[in-house]
Amino acid sequence: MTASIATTAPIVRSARRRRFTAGRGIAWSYLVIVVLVTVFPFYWMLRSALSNNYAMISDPSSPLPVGFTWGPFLRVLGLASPQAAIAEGGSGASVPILHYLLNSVIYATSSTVLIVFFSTLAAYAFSRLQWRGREVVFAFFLAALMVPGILTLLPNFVLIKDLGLLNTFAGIILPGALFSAFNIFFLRQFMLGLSTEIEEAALLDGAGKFRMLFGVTLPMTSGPIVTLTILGFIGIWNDYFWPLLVTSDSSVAPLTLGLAIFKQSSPQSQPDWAGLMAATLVAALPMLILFMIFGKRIVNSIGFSGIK
Amino acid sequence: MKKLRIITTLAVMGLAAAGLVGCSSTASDADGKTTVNWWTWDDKQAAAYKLCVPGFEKANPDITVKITQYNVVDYFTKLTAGFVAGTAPDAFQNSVPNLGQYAGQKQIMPLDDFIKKSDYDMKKFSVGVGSWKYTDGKQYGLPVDWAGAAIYFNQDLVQAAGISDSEIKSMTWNPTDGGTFDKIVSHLTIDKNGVRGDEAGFDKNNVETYGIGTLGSSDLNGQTTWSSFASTTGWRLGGDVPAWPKSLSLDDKNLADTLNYIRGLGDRGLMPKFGQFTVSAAEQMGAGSVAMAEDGTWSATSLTKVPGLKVGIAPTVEGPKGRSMISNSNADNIFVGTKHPEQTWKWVSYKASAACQTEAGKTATFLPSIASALQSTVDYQKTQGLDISSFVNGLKDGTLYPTQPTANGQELNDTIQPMFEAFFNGETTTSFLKTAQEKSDEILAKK
Amino acid sequence: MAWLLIAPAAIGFLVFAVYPTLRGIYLSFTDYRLLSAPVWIGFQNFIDLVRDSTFWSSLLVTVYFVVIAVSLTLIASVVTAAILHRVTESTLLRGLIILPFLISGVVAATVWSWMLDTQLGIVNVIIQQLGGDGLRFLTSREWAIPSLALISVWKNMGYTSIILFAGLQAIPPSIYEAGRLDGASEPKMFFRLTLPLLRPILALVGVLNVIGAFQVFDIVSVATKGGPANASLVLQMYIYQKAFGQFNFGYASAMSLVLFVILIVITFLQMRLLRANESDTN
Repeated sequence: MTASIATTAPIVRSARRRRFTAGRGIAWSYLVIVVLVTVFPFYWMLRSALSNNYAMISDPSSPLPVGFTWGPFLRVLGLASPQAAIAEGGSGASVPILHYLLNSVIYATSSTVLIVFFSTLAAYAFSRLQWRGREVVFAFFLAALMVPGILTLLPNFVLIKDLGLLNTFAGIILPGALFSAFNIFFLRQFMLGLSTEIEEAALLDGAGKFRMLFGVTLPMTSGPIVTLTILGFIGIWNDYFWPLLVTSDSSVAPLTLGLAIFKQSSPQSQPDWAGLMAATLVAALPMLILFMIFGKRIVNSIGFSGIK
Repeated sequence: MKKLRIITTLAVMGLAAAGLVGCSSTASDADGKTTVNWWTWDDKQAAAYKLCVPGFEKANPDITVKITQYNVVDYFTKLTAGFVAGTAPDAFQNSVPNLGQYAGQKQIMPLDDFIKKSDYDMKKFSVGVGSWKYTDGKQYGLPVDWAGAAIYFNQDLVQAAGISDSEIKSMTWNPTDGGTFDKIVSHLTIDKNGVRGDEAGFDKNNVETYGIGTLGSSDLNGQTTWSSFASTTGWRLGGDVPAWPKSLSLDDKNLADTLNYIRGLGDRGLMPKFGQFTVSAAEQMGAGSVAMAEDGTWSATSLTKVPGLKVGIAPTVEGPKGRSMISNSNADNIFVGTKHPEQTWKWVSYKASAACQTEAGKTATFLPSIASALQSTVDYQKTQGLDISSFVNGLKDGTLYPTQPTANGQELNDTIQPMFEAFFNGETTTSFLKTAQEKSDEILAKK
Repeated sequence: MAWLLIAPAAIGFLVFAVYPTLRGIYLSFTDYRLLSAPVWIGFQNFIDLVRDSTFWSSLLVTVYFVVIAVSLTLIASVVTAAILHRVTESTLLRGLIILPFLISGVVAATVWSWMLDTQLGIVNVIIQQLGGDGLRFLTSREWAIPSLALISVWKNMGYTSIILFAGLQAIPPSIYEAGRLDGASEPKMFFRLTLPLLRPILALVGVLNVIGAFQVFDIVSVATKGGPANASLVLQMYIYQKAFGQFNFGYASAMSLVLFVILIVITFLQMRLLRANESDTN
């Protein structure tokens, strides 16, 4: 039996005529402003990334790049010579971008797949199965959401060190790969809302617990699963501090670390703004590309209803 | 079906994960060579010292040197993580405020044995040796460089104001009336209507060009800002003790008068207020926002490369007790957990040798503490059109005094800096110095 | 069978959440300088904490941030979601407003630091061209936290709106039909029907936003580093300073523990207030 991979409920087209009222006008103006404010920084990143640092000072308001140059991107991609970089007011560091990119892909993908899978299993157990202590254990899991990261940061770091996993992919991934309070909470909420009819039907058909989980419940939960996968991927892709601690050289460092070089290189010097903007664009680019390809699906997948 | 996809992906990942644990990297001692890791936060110095590596590796064919740079914000976090994990680099650049902590926590090695064994000449360093001695009297670093401040001025603007270069280079100052410094700054300041700071009708709220870039800063010693003023009154941050003071002289009339004078410059519209400008001195001068700027000696090369800008270099002001300013020397520390202490010492001492200092110092991104290396830096820069000989004079005639190492340096910074910020922001009067004094005494007294 | 299913999560929970938390709690009763063994000092850290004016001011700063950031985010998100729901269902628009969510907090803060730069930032340039005086967004006591809150709202609003939008869509249109038949106006329907139905999701989003805002760190460390003069020294930053700057890990753990307790209390209160566990679909 195939369950439909549903996303959100089909959008009900309102039967009202689209009158142009003041209300609509205000609403649309609001939306336009929101979109502008949301999108403008991205454009500004691009404009600054194509500008010359010194030129930007004399003309900070120009909507177009000033002193147009590919320099910042060259610096970020590690293609500029230190002298050329310093001449444009930039940092002289070099960054092997592809290497970091690959590391980020490995790190984010494996992390995400693992955590979503394990969280789904756990959420199923908390929502669909009856067992002693279920609510108590769940409450404990939930409490983990409120533990400030820094309390567990150092003990986790020492733990990873004792396991001999410092500066390895496993070391970076492990703490977050098995347990996510947020994911379990989210999925459990959703599963609680699922109608039990289909499952009861499957039970009557003689399906075992595992068959039910994988054959029935999982497909019905596909919407939130996709959502969590995307959320998780984005979160881990952008993770900075934990990889900073765990890596001791660039071999397993993700992209976020690689680009951190463009921050101030000494306490008294100013950041290389153009290079920094180029670096942030490169850091955001993979996410933006993914979004352009999968955008519609992503946006539609964030929903709460599932089955029709 | 989704389920199948999930399972397949997991299987692939599982296989990959099995390989992931092995994907770590160790300082590979392949083919019998030892790798020495050295860290710095300064990208320019990373590039400069790379120039020394070929020479070193040729003289020591069994050693490879790996230079890594982290931006300054992350640098010390990573060092700390390295200490905890035992994976800190063999040697790393460090600054004086951290000596107390790192040595106190026994994370860095004293170098005295190495120095004795190789009969190393510590006297070749002109300044900073004392800054790197811990309270146990042992030497923990070789102070390869030093840094002070200088006054950079826009030669065109100065000329247009009818002031000569030599007048700038011989400015006097005192906390009462500001000396010739005050007059020059006033004259160089121009408001949006073209009225100068010392002329009638000057509009201090609409300034086009400030006479001097901001001299208010949040750091504890005002190294590139007010130190060169306060110090000329004979004031010293740690009092007369050369190192490890038990108390900082913050609640001091000379310091208070200096700070008030400097903040007053901002109030009078002759100087941008604290936080008003955020770009570097080079960029401020390039944009014509300031006619002069006090900045570190390490900025000499970048300040003179701004397109369209002709920059002159002047020494800091001459005050009641002559010229004086604080100097900071960075040094390399050796991690106590290094697996290759001998080889690391070889790199560290080579790096501090006249040969390497001359080679790397050419770029003037730092100023060598070794006199001969400094001289060749000056000579080389002259061929590039930059005259930094005034720096050398400062070193020779005792203008500089080294930063005093203190206990709990980081905590001092974190506690006292916000107070200076509040002062320069106009939130308090110099009475804050009394609180700063109490707090710093408390901190210095801690273990 | 249930235990088998939750096994991986439980292992992760125990090893990487429970154990470190317990150890963290233990450390808060010690004097731990990171590089030598912890020394038990009982409640001394907590006593020092109570006397530490910087701790209290950073707590205040954090609360200030949370109040501004979360309320603005929620209000803006509700309005946006409602408008999206009633005026247009364009996927393009929804996609656009979710963009800030894709980039990391560090990236967002970096771009905004640049745009809010006192001297060169485009925002001030525009203000000045409109005749005003530039504001010292990130370098003045008055504007530091509001500016940080702005960055946080920018980052989180789109995503929160989309979640609320999805929640709105789950409400059966028949309810509105009934309302309209009764002659209720749009705003009235919104406040009397929509909002109550949205409550569980609002509660979820609200709680998560508050928890997140209390722990804000990366945007602060990038944009203001806690300045000027500790005007934006949120609690996580102060804890970080103590831990990684001053090596005083025992004290930092004590502060984290206090933050933990605060979060538990606030979450509990919030859930109670919003009766988040109940739903109103009757």
